[in-house]
Amino acid sequence: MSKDNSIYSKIIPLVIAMTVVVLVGTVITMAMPLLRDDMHPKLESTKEYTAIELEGRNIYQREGCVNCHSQMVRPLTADVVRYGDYTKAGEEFYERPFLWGSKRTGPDLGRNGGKYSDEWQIIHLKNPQKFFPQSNMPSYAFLDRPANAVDAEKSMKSLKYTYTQEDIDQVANSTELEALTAYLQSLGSDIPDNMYVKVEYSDYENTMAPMSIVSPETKVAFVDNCAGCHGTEGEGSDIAAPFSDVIPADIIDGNLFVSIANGIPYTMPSHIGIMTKRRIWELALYAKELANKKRTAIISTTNTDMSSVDSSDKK
Amino acid sequence: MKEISIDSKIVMGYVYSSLFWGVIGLLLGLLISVQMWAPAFNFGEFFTFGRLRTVHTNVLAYGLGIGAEMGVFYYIITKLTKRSLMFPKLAIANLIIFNIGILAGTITLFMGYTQSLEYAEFEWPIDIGIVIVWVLFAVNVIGTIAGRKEKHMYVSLWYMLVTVVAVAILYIVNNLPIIVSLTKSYHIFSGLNSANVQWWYGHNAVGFLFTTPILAMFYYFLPKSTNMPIYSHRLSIISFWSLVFMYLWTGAHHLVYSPVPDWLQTLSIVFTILLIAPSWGSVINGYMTVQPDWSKMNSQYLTKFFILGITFYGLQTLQGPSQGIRAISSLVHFTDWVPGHVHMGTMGWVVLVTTASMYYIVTKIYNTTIYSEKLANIHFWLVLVGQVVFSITMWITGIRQGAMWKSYNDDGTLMYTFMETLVGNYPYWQMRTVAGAVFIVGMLFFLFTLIMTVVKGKREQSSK
Repeated sequence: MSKDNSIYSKIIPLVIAMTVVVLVGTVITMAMPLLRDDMHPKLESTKEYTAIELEGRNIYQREGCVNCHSQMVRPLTADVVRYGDYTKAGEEFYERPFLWGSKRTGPDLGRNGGKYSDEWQIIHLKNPQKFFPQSNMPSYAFLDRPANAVDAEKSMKSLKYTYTQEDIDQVANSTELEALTAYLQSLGSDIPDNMYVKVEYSDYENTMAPMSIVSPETKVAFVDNCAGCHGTEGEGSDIAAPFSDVIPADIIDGNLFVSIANGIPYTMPSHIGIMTKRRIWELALYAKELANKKRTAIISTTNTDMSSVDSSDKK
Repeated sequence: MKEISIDSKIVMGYVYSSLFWGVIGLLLGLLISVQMWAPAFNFGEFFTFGRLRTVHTNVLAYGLGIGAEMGVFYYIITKLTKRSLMFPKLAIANLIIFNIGILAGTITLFMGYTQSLEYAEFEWPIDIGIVIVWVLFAVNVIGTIAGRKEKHMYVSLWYMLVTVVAVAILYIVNNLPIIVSLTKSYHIFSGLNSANVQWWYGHNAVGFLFTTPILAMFYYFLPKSTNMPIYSHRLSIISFWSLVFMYLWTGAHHLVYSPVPDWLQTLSIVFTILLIAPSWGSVINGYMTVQPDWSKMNSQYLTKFFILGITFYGLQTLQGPSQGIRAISSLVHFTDWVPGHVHMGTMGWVVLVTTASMYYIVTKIYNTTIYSEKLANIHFWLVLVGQVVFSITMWITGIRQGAMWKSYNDDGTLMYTFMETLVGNYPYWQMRTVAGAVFIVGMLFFLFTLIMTVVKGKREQSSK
């Protein structure tokens, strides 16, 4: 039988042939790119991780956060409107390993830095349902324990990153929650001012100013998106002061609108991507209404005359 | 009583080992499916979703998957080479080291020691163990085939040899570490290369752990259990070489719309589409093998496992390439569509073919018939229905959420907050848990039937 002299009856030539066939695609798509400049660019603003950020990143890895959170904003309108500017190759220079993930059970964190305050991050990590009652994220309250400065220093050394003794001391004096928060706050900040969509003053002035009715849907949106920090009646919480303290009675509505829409770095996230301008305008009016109601209540305990407050309720 | 041969004992050792890890991996899968819709089911540090998901995938891919493959390979090899294993003691040592490695790996993943590379999460000391296991396995496979008493090598042996070669290359390269300590390392590659090397590995781990080994089983056990020869030897040859050539080019289809250069993404998408041809070469070869007598589906209980298995392989290899296309990726990437896809391959293709192979092996080793064909059929139907419902719920909710992420208001802002898109998943995720439970009950039927077949075989032999 001629078949018996074929490669299928000689094991060594067969294994060599297989190895070569497997290596062709491997060399071209895996090995060759290792040597190409376009595979390791670096932005000027991209810096090594600090000790506490790296310790936070180690914790992020250890807890498998990557299993539910991506860190890769795609150059798609829907992605950049929701999360911010798309992920740039040059930002990835120090990523070992990359943590882009492959599933968004939770939102993308690639531009998470500065969206919320440190305090918010820590409380949210401990109890995600406090802000999002329907969230499926586990509680990470067990991270409220000292971070490991010895491991952090070993990590810094292995990666040949520069650090000082103060940097290590900072890790030693932090909890794991604080280290993780330091990492989360660093994400995406190589591109400053990275929210893709923003509103300008003219947006409200031209189209929204005449509107003054708060719809029931907006009140629902307030409970879903605002009440976690500001309280259902705007009474505030341990991380946000009451509306009656921060929203003066004579505030220009447009300024309130711009703050809610664009967010306030390291304090309040931007909302313009995820709801209509009209909704945000109504939220601004509603927040002001709640602030004034609270003031009225305070006044009414000392003064029974309500008429002066009623008129300030409307613009 | 006639003792079974040392080779058979080795094969059974691997079978039992894979069943053990299979049960653990499946139960963890059920738990994390509940955690998806009920966060109260996260129990402290060691039982949070983030850690358990990794334990689930690794225990099943390595403990069940590789364990079963090594055992079944040893069985097929002794038959196709017409000799016993070249190094039986090595195979026993290998089984022990393998189980110590998987146990250690599982414990370390519970403790959070992970490289954060999908399907390569084990930290470097475990990786060394895995590489040792693989080298010992390769020595036995290549050694036994080299000393074969049948000159011609059947197609199943080619698939085994390429599995041995490719997995070694993939596993070693992607696990190269910068070592920090015994429990911590960083990927030696950074940024875009970290991503590109990982997905070259990740995709081909699927190719050479869940495709070529299962094809080796399929090409051997389908003709054996139907008593019909493979339809076309030439088609086997063409499918084999084109499959193992093209697979390695496709990793970057996991990185569509990422910062990885467009030429890499496009090249991988092209090869991904091309890969449909060799995959369907095997599908057609399987169908045409049974073509002369489809009544085997009814008369020979194992036939339907293999035919449905290859059908899910065929669907998998159409669905996968479609996901690589940019337009479809932009909708379904990052959604539940993708786990739906993976589970059709593992719960459909891999499980149906592997469990049927084990039924065949056990009846041959103990020279008996199956304990109960009826129970095997119940196993088949529960596993089939569980898997189909599981996958379909994931696909529906994947498209649903992907479309919600992309819905706009009239003024160009997005219609839904992330939380609004998430809560819509809950009913589907609850359905997925139910489907997973049905699947697991099916697997328990398998476990029972298989073990009772062994008991039956032993009893029959001792009464002779």
